[in-house]
Amino acid sequence: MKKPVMVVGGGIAGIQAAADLADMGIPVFLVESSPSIGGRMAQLDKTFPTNDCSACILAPKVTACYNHPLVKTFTLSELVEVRGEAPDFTAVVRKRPRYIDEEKCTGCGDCTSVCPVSVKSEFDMEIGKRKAVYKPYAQAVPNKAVIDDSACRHCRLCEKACRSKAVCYDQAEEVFEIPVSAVVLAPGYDLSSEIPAEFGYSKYADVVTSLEYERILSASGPFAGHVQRPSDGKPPKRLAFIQCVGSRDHQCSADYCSAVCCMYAVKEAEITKEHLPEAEKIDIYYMDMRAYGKDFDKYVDSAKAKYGINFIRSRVAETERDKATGNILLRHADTGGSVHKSEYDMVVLSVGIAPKEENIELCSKLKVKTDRHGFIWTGEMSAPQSSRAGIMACGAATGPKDIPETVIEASAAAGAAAKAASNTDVDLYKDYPAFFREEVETLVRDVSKEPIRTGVFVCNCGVNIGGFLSVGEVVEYAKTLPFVTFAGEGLYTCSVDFQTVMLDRIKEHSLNRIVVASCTPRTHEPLFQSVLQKAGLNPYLLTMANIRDQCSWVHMEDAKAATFKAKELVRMAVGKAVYAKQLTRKRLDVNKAALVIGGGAAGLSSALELSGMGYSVHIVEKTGGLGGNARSLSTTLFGRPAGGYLAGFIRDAEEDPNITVHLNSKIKDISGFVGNFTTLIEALGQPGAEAEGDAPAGSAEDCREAESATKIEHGVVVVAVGASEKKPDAYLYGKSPNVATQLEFEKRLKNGEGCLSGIKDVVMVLCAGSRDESNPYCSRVCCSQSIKNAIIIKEYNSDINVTVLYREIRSYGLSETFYRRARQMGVQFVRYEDDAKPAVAQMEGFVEVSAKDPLLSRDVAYRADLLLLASAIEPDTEENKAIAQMLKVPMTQEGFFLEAHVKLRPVDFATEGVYLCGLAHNPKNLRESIVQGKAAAARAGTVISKEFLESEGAIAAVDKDLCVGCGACEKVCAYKAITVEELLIRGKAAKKAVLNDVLCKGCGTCAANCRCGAIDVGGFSDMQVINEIEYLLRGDVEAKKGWEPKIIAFLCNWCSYAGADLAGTGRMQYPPNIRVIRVPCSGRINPAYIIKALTEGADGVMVSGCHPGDCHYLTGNMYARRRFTVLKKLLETAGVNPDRVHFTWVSASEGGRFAEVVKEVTEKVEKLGQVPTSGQPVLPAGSCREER
Amino acid sequence: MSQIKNFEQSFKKEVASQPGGERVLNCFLCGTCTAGCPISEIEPGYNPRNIMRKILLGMRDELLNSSEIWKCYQCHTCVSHCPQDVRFADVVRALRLIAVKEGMFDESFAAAVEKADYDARVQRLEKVNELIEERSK
Amino acid sequence: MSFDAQRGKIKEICKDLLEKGTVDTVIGYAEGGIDGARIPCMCGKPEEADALCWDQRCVANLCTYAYDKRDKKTGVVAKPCDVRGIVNYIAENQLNRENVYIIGVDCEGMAGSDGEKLPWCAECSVKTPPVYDVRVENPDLPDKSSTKIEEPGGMTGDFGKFQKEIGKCILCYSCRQACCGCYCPVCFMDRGVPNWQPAEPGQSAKMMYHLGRAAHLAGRCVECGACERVCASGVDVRYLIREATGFVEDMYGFRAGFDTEADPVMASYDANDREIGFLGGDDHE
Repeated sequence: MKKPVMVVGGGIAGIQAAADLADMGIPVFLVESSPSIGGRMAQLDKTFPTNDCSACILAPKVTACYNHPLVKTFTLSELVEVRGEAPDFTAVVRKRPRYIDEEKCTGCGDCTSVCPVSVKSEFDMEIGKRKAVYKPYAQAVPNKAVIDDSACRHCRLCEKACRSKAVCYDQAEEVFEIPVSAVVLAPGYDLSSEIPAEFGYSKYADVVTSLEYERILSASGPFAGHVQRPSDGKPPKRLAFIQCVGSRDHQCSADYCSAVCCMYAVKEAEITKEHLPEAEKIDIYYMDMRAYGKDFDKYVDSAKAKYGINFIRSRVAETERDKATGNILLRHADTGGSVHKSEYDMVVLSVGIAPKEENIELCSKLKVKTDRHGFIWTGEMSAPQSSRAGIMACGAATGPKDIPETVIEASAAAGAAAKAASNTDVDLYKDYPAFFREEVETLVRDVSKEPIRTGVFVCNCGVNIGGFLSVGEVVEYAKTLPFVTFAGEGLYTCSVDFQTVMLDRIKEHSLNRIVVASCTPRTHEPLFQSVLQKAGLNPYLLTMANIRDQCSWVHMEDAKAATFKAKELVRMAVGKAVYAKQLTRKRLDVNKAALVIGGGAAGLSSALELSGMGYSVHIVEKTGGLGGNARSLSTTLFGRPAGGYLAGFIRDAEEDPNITVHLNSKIKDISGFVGNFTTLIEALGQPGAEAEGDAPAGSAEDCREAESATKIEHGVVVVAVGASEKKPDAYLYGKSPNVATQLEFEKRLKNGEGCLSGIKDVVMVLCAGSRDESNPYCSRVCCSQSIKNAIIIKEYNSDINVTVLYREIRSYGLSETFYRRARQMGVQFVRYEDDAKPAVAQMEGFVEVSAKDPLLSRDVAYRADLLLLASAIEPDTEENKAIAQMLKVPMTQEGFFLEAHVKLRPVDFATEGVYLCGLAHNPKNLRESIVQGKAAAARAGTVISKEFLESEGAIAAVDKDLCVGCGACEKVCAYKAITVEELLIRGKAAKKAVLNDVLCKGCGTCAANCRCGAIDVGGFSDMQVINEIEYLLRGDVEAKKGWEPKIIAFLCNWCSYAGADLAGTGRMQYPPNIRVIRVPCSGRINPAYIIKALTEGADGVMVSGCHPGDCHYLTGNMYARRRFTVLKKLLETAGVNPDRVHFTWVSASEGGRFAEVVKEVTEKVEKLGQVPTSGQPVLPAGSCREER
Repeated sequence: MSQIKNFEQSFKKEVASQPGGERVLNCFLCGTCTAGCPISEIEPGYNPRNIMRKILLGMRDELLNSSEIWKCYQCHTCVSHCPQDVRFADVVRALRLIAVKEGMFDESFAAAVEKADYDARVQRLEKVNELIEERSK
Repeated sequence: MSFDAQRGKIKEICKDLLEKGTVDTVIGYAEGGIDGARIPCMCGKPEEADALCWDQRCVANLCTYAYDKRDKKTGVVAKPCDVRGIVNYIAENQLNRENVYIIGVDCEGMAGSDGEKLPWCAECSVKTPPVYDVRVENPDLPDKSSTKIEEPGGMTGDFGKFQKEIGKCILCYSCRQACCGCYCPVCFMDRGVPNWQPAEPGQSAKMMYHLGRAAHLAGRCVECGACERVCASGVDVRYLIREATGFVEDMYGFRAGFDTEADPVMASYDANDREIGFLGGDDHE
């Protein structure tokens, strides 16, 4: 086992780095200063540009990282000191007392409810309140309480209330000295505290910061998502966002741009419009709308067109509060120069990113350099390497950046740390006994031949269940159920001591099915599955009944109804357990080699990183030389000689024994799947045409004799095929000797062609090819590249006049400092309107560029000996399409590749084992391409570092005899895990669906789409769902007097089931008539389930999944939406009253909305009256619909 | 309006070499000065951003002959608001120095404007004192 | 060109196919059914083609027979709805295009024994075969057949209608056997595990069957009327299925049996599909 790595900071960067390292088999110590991990992203309501709910996409990653056997998390802890040199560091960690025993605490919240002290909640940005003993937020991970000793009055009420004796006031500070091989710093950022006084933040309650507003917007925030003014609680009619608060502001010592505020302001504006459709006016006051990322411009356009947000290009001078109306007045000037005082009910300040004070202290202690702003310094060409060997830094702590760039840097840091740890070796369980205990492997007992003997364990969860329903009655009732041999009760079934009780009962009664009636499986299923494993049972023989978050907590006033519901939930769970199968994870060997397609900067950095980790790599480059577009760059963004770095990378790659370079080669075919790819590489006959840059002369001779095709075996693929410059078709390009593109100018500079001698005037035109009909996206790098070239020209000769005509200056992040430097060197920046593009006329020996100046509203003509055009970056769509088909990966409309998730998986494809980096993903600068190359290598490392690949347990399975090979399943699988192939069955060729276990995620969309019922999903099989329905509806628990509607609710596990749980943790009461059936995805719901429920006598059916776009399995809910829409129509035609069947989307943070939906559905079904139980006509003619 | 063709790009360096005008090149024309300026609120023609634009473009003669640069009331609101610390109030005084030095405006005019500012301050103070007296009765 | 002229043309084509051996068998219609209905007839040799006939009573959907003979090269005399059935089979990998030679015949609609035009032919808007190898035209028919459903049967507004209809149904499943869309090895109704059928084989079992089949035929039914034709109890079997076909047409613009390459409508999605009747969906009815 490799020596562990320490990751400092539990935000999304730390979580990604820790998860990647652990997936590479390297143990991780994750040090987090707050009581729970999740960082800033957990405070966000939605994320741009997809408006995904932040909780939905973050929670799975947080729980997976926290529960990973190789990750040990220290909360409330700081790294104090790192002694020694890599890879033999000794890290000193100080852990502040939680005053709660983490082993004992079950996160049940009894202590919080009795605590008399209430203080401002940091998580809710001091708008909401929290108790002295508290959980930072409902879904906090670890789900443990913490005591804030500055607020606590030691009244000991919590100690009395806690039934598992977890409160211990005398807990002291602990210091650990841990030997580690490398340190990854991901300590995150703070909101800039220097807010200009004139914006009135400290004076007016209705002027809030963007993160405060994020909490106001959030359904789990202080106002439960009802947007309101902090001053009087009224919903605002008119709302203004002010951009660049504490950024691009020399007076706030923030000469940089915070890179994310423009986009989160647009998102917050859109979400406000969704929450308040009646809002009259939502304005954004900005200087440059910096929508530089993937699909960002589309997002801004939809804000304008669909949401009616108006964008006002002007910087607000100050805010005043109109005494009479209490509203806020903003003073701003329009382009014409006239001053306005616009009135708003509420103002949101888009506050920028600032380095954390603690980070600056930490870096000085660790002897790690920080830059002049206070961000942790990382080498431009060696990021994420910090100034000290063995210490990497990533995320917003190294400079303002968006979540995708953060996640990319974090994966790259994990790769670099893995390289540092690659030649260390420790015995984890002997050297780190306090932190890692070896799982004792027990012999698994095959229960398939045994009669079904079910054990039911009902939990009290202190008072959380026992206090609101009679657990004893439920246990007695469980004993009467079929196949149940034992039923018992426990105070806390998840506590360590009750687990031993369970082990004994399992042995005593030789149980082979376990039902645990307690809280939500989303958090506790892994725990109880490990108990089954310890007892020698297959973990999938466990079924849980959620009688806390979805029963006792939400039916607190009606103990009888809650008890009755709990009995029925247990009965359903037993029904499901009866058909539980012993699922095993299939294993598959892994070929440790990697294929990198494309030898540009990104491909090279990926290959070098992979070979650094010890794997053999094949680079396939279509041209005659390595380096790609980077060969044309003379300097990097920060002015360092790009050529030198690139030559170094190329030399390392060519001399590295692990790397085989195939020049002048093309991919003929790629077959196979993750761990087992086979690729045919075709040499392109005579050496390919000279590449963009000057391919090194030597490469032509030593190119191998062009055999037909070489075959290679490998386990992963990194797509780094890059993109190319689109030659402009305007501004006299190609027609005038005075006109060139920025890239061509750089090449001339690099080759020292003296192209600036005798030049007096230079004019640059930006957006020359980007953001128009043919390329409706921003090419991201041209603003900074043009500024860099302008500075170079001024350094060469400051008398040369340089004028830059721009639509918007998008020098995002730290490159804003160059924009200021260029102005200070005399470069003149002039804006032009999109509908008044500059005109170029050829003169004697020079060109004249004329453009209308929006400020002077007059036409200005500029003389130009040299006109440089910022051309667009364009994908090689045809070549990309060929590779996309071979690898079965999707592409975007513009021709770039489409990654698995734009925010949290920017380097992965949905298809496992294929990774993406460089310009092929989206335009980006050299530094970003190199870092993304390293990230792709690290992600690929998580696969080829494994001895074998394991499939998920609960996945699909195909019954060959029932399959007719119609291909409907293949079309709906987002992971290309199921394909129709020609098989020889009993001598006859037949087309059958074939499943690739390793790729299958178990979402079940294929199973529900299969008419012949040939596909079933382990853990959520058709028989299990049907049995849950039948056990619930056939025969009553006890003779009941009046009729109560019984509604079956199919909830998708990731969003709606989590939303239902959140309604529980929020104690939002709703009628006790729904019975939830959990499914992996709304795509799993076969319309026949709904018909079966109705025909078995359910009075109503409710179906809820993730909002379209949020689906954990990418597209499951999209197919489900069509199925449900058609089914709703059919049911109505068949005479089933439409008010009996409801489809909706509920996200993981919409607890309140879930409760409202259940109320609405129950009322509607109650009004319609009882459906006769099965056997009689479902709806006697004429009675099925009252007049609407 | 006619197309602007002849302008001296060196003008901005000339202003930058004047005391008070050193930071003129920092400006990225965001308009905060105009938004906060009490004069531009009451005098629509007066627009500090446009003055900066003319400096940076190099419309030397048009600017130095224009009456705009004398309307500034030197209240320094623009200086406190400017995100790039350009200190427009000082830039205007630098322009006035060049205008006088180049003879577009003679010394006495500059002195008269100084005097006008002074008298306005005196008048304001008297009005305020009267208000204070009335209140104390 | 009336029926007789088309019959001559069909015979000629079939003889020629069999002589040249482009196909092993030709499937067409011949006399001999009860009360004058035409029955399917397989011709192996050119002379057998003489028995072929073509008139108003060639109602049966021959594509199911082409499906049975899917391993051999087969010629099929196909009305437009038969052609759509074949296109459906090809789209779902059940037939490959080279093995079937489509003799597309324009059809102005078939009649029952009483000479009345059959209800599904009256509603039919596809008079010319969308795909064919050779086409037997009928010039006095409108050339371009519209893909839009002219007047969908539409709900009769009486929500009890379906309940009354399936009251008559005896679950004999002959509509399933006749349907070219139903070729599953084991129908979901016949499976013991998982037992989709509700407890008693009463009304709710019929609900399960008819609703389930309609859901499976959404976007796949070629409107050939075979189900209603074979129904022994005179149930309006097409009531639900017609509703699903019309609904899929105007919601997703998809109609079965026109393009062998098209993605099946229920196995594809569009980011802004409409959410009719969803709680909180963007368009409420």
